[in-house]
Amino acid sequence: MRGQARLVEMIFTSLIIISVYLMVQQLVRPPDILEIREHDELVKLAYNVLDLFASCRLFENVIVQGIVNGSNWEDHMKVMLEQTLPPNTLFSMEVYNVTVDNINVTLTRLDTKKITNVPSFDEKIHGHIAIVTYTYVTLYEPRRGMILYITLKLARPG
Amino acid sequence: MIYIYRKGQFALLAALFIALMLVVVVFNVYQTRIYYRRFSGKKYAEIVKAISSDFRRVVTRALAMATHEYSITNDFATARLHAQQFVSNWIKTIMYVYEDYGPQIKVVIKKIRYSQWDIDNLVKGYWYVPSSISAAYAVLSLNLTKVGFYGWRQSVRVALEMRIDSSSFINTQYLGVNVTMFNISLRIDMEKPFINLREDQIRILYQDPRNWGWYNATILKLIYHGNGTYTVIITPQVPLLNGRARVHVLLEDDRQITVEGYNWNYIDYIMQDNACLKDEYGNIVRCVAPYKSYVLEVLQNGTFYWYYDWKLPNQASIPLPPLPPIPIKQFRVWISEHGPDSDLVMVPIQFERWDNNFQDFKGLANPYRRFSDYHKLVFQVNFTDSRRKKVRIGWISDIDAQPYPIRVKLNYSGDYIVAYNGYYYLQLVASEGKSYAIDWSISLISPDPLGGYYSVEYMLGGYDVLRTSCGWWWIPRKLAGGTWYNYSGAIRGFAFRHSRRTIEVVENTSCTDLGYIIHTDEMENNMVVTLPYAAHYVMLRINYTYLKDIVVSNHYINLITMISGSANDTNSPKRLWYWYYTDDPDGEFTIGQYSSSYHRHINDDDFGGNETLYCGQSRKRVNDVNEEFVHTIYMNPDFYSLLNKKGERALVIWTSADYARRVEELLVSRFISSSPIAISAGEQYFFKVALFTFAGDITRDDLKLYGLMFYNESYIPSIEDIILP
Repeated sequence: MRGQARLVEMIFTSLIIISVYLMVQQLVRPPDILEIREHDELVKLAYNVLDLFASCRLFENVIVQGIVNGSNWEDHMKVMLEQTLPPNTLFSMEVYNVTVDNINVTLTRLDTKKITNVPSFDEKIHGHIAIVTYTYVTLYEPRRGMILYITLKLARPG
Repeated sequence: MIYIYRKGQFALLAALFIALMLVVVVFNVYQTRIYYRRFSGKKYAEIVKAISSDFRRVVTRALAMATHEYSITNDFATARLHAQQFVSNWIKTIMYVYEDYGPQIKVVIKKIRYSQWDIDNLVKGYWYVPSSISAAYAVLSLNLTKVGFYGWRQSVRVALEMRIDSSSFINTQYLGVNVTMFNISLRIDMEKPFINLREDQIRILYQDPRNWGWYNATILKLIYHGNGTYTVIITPQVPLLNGRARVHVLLEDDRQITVEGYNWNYIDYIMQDNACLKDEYGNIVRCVAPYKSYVLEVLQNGTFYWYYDWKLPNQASIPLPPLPPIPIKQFRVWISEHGPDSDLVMVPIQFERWDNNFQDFKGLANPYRRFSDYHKLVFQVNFTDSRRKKVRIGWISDIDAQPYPIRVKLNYSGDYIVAYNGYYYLQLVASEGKSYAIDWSISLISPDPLGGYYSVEYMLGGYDVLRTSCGWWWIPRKLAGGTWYNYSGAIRGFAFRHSRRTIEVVENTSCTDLGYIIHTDEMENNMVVTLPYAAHYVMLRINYTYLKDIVVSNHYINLITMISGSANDTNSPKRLWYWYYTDDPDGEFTIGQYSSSYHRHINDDDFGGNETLYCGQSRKRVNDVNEEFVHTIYMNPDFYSLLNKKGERALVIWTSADYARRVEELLVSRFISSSPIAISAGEQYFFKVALFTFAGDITRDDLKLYGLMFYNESYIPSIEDIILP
């Protein structure tokens, strides 16, 4: 009888430890490697695209030129993103003009139409979204010395 | 024992499980941390890269802003401030948009050496020479504290460099058009050749020595030879001087970084003094003398002048090269210490602004303006120990250069403008209406070796005489009026007046109650008084134009009158006792002694066999004149011819009855009380006057050398040679 009680005690103890172990496993569960990779790649992709646009003077030639001429630059930028990003990549871009006085930094939204290929970025719908921020000082005509603040959101459908 | 055994077994098992659990927990935490680091590490690497690439752009923009603004304003200190402000705004932007990463950002400004240039203070420029550069250097120091990233540093060099190949100038034909070709070499960012130069990015100015000013050349073609070297083909064909044209090249790249170059950085002139004593056979005996200091003026077209408008003859084998249209503050002048081969020493300079005909002085030039065709560059050349001097006019390439400081200061003191030039004081009646009562316009005050000061006064341009109700005379009845403006400079001070106001003395209630009225329709006066620093002379240029026909009732029209003495110094040992004059610098003086009561010593109605007359007053020795005040008048040839037509010009030397004043007067007509004289509308009296004073032992030879020949166009210094680098 005594031996049985010990056995039961042992079993309970083991169960407790196993349950603690499982609980800890759940609490400190490492992120899904595939998810990390995907997010990481999207971030990298976003910066690569923005760097490419910068080196091609696209921010001056499309955004600033469009603002100066009053043309539909948002659609042009959307086309540029569609052409540059891999297929099945969801994106959304926002562009701001930065003005700085002695104390304050003010962001003024420049895009009046959405630059995106998806109605909205919902994490529940699209899984993880990569959001990158980028600043760009315009060097060339038509307007030099503007500080642009750009956010680009990328996601995979799913 | 059994209890203990059982208890120990349980404890052992519990310890084993706990240890196992800990191992698992630690392992899991460690794994998680690795994943976190990997994940976040990727993220901040991209952010740092993005900030770094924008930093390069912000430094580029700062350089473009500063150089472009400077090319318009020529004020690099302010342009740099704006560039620094822009960088500061960018830092605030980064702090704001990357706030979640805890950015700590600092832009470190350091000095670096690149080729022959020091690049510091964020942005820097070395322009206007054959090798010119605009450059910026800054170091970004960045930490992202919230993601544990520290110690990122990135240095950025941005530049636009231009070299004009001075040996490459060719005048030839291109597609049937006469052209000038030359090579330029361009590099960007201190390492890379500039490979995409377009014709609209470059502007070339040329100066044709036959014309006045700088002109835009048309660029017909740019030929790229690789490694940043271009051949520029321009028209019209520019005459070559010593194998090269004079071209000023302005370049602005796509980024708006600007640079300017000129294919010379200095011009050397060998100058010769020609005011020399000769023996009876015509051989030069002596040229140098103490106080022999010319204040020379140079115009943009390279012409030198002395005494306002006498052009220095060019004896060199090449025409005078023009000076580049660069900001005035860049210019410097060096003069050889002794002979032309001795060391060069930088001397003070000043720039003046005149009207396009160089008749109206407009003030000191703004040093931040470009040297233009209405500016004069002024500097002083001494021939006190050598007959020949080397003069180098150069321009420094550092665009942070500042202009020369002011040395001559003209100050208002009550009704007067008072200035001290290191040798004597000049006192100028500045308040209109004050001079009528004391009948003089300018006072020259010299420190007296016997102690204190002694002065003479000069009256200028008075006309007509007032016969009072008491029967005595007031001379002059009318005198030029208007407001004096004064300017202080590094080389000379200026007092300037251009007015149509004339003051007429009138009797109010009695002959002892005099007042004045103003006319604005009788005479226009344009007077420039220049006071060189550390020289023994004051120069005046006077131009009176009569606006209507007037009749001078009492036949008195004065050009210049020197008055010495007053009631207070009748018996003073300081007072001047002798008068002298000559109209020939090589000839003899006519000398006399003043009396102590009213006396007319000279009433010469035919003074001056030529256009220059010298008059002086002195004390002590007569033959070896010393401690004296001298003035010389040079009459413009047209005016001299007008005087000849009038035929009654007079030099009158007299002692007054009231205060025993000593007076030397140069009059347009003799003072004949009963005979009116007519002046026609448009008559112009144009003459120059030099006033000078010496205290000490001055020999007559020295007086001739730096007093009489000095103000004679026949003895003007010449340019004997021009050396181009």
